[in-house]
Amino acid sequence: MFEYMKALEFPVKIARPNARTAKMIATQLGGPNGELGASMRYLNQRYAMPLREAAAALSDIGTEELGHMEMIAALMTQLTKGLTTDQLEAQGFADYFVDHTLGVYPVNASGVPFSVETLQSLGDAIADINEDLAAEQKARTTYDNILRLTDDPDVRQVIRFLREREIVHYQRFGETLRLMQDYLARYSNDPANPYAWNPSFDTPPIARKR
Amino acid sequence: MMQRRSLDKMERDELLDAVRQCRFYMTDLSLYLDTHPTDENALALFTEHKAMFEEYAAEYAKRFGALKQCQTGAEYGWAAWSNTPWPWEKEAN
Repeated sequence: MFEYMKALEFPVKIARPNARTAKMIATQLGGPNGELGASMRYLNQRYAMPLREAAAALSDIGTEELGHMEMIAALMTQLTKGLTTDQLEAQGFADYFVDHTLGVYPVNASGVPFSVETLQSLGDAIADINEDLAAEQKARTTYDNILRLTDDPDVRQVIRFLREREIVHYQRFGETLRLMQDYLARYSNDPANPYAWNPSFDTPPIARKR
Repeated sequence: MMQRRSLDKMERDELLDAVRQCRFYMTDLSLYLDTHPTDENALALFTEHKAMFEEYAAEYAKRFGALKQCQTGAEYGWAAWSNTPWPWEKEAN
């Protein structure tokens, strides 16, 4: 089960609302490289991990991503709070507003609702952890793009924190992949070709031979 | 490592920052420990920050409202959980 803590992982305190920025940042809630996809990817993949250390990394990183989802939602909420409909329209927010008012809804920067097809849970630990490594880099690039497009220091410090966390997660997934590779090497018949089986499903080849 | 400060002298913002910082140490160290479970130095740092987190969080709950449901109960009243600022509100941060 999950236990909620009533505080953000890193504070969000926006002095100057800006709906244009909110619309751009929304993609890290509902976009292809966002925090909703990240948490769902890791928390659903973990059940098929043959190593408990890998299940631990996916559980703990997936849980942190749930907290990041809340930080993005806090940014969206504070960046749109108190604006008039004229201001919202001038800042390019009319199309979002007509469907959702100021409610938080997971869409990408172009307004397309979140798609579960942006993530996979294949039930193959090597394939899934490789996807996770790519996902962290894609999220880091997206945060870099947001930093290229916003000057507001209140927004930038939050985005910089989230960007740093993607780098740390990439590092941890790299170590998780190495643990999986050691496991594959231990249980493969042919050390030169250890990737020829699904460690989440198949009986290890070395056991089959015996 | 975070320096210990006298709890009863801390303002709400300062106390919340301390709670958050200790919790962040725990989060970051937990991810590291998942792939380095035998690193005794990291485990000692985790344990140290967990103790500080619990102390700061208990003081915060007593004075400003529960951060977790297990910190509330009859002695505080339910509103200490439900009617204190939610994390996405500007005044909560």
